[in-house]
Amino acid sequence: MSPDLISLVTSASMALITLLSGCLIAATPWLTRGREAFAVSVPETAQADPRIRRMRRAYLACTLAVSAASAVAALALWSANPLAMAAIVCAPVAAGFLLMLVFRARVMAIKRSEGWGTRSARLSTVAGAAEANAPRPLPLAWNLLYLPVVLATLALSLALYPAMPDPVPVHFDAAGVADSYMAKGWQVIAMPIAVQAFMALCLTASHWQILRSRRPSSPEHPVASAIAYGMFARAQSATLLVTGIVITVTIAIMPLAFAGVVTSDQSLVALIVIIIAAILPNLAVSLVYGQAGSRLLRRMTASSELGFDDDESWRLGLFYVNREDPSVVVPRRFGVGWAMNWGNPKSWGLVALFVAAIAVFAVLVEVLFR
Amino acid sequence: MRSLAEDLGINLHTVNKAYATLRDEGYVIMLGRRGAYVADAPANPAAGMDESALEAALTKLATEFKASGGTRHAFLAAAKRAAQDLD
Repeated sequence: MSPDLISLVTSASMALITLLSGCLIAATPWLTRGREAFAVSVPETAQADPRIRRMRRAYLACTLAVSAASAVAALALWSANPLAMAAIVCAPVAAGFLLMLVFRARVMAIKRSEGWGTRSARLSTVAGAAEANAPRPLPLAWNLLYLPVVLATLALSLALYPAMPDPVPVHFDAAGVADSYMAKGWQVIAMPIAVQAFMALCLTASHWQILRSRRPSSPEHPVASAIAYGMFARAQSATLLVTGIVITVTIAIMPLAFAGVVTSDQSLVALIVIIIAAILPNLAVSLVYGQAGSRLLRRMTASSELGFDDDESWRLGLFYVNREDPSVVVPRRFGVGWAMNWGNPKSWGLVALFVAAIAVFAVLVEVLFR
Repeated sequence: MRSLAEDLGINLHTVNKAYATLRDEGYVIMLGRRGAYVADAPANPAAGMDESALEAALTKLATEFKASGGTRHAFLAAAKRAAQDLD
């Protein structure tokens, strides 16, 4: 494959990833819980309000436009200016955030004028038999599946070691030409393993956070929402595991590329195809289930009451700060997934630990493998 | 208990106080590590309604009945019918 074609394939893949993630952001207003609109607590019947429906469509149109423009720009700029490209990839996220803030202000104004607020707080959770009916995320033990992957990669590296040239080409530029080499030694075998192990640890930590999350329940539909959330959490934990294993397995391409069993352009194309395939299941789960399983409940009769209003705890619609709440991990308000409770010191501790672990790993890789 | 506090998003102390109140009133039995169980009947007979509580409730009803235009005679007759189960 010619270097130009490889460049084109790489740019096209980055553009596609930008477009797909932008589409998910654009779809967010349809994925939020029925009792929330643009990060504001509202009665479920408010979702049918024509003003809010218009806002959803406007959000979709604007975010899709920004995503399409960013994808085209990524296609044009990838090889030429990686830094500019990194900024462009963030454009749909930034646009989505700013638009959410704008519409959030409008929904709050409508909420005040319509008097949708509530002074009381009616909370709900399920316990006993109903709790047993709600599915749970996959147990942490499933992450042991990473172990055979790492061991198999180690075996592969050891088997291919004699066939590797000296020095070993370890990095390829966007055109598929080797631009960095490493002397043959134990580092060449250890590097892919170290990357796999660290990635497995990070993904296990994410899985743990899903398990530790508060299990939300809408007091308007307590049991149904608890079951829907359970199904959502289970699906997300399963996709996280599958995506993680797929990506960790692809790291085995490294020793294959070192030994020349696969050419650099073959490995590049394979890598990109596999990464996109890893993104698609996550997209599918988000679109089918909705945040906290909300799309599973869309046929239920909408409630006209608002059980509780926690607008105060959500700063800028995104950041949950509540010192009273012992939860460390809570489901996101506007978006699919989970967020930290920044009012809980444990969250800060966990984030600091995570940042430190990444820093230590980066330093270790630099020191040991260069 | 912590998962209950987390799921509801309220302070652990609030949950503890709620459990303590239910235990004091005799609705719930706490078995340490094994958890809390709902009691079959109030364990403490004094946890139910005593005479002073009854009088307070009746005073409230009498005031409401008077505001709605009721007479003492009608109130006492209704009370007599309601008390048919008491021995």
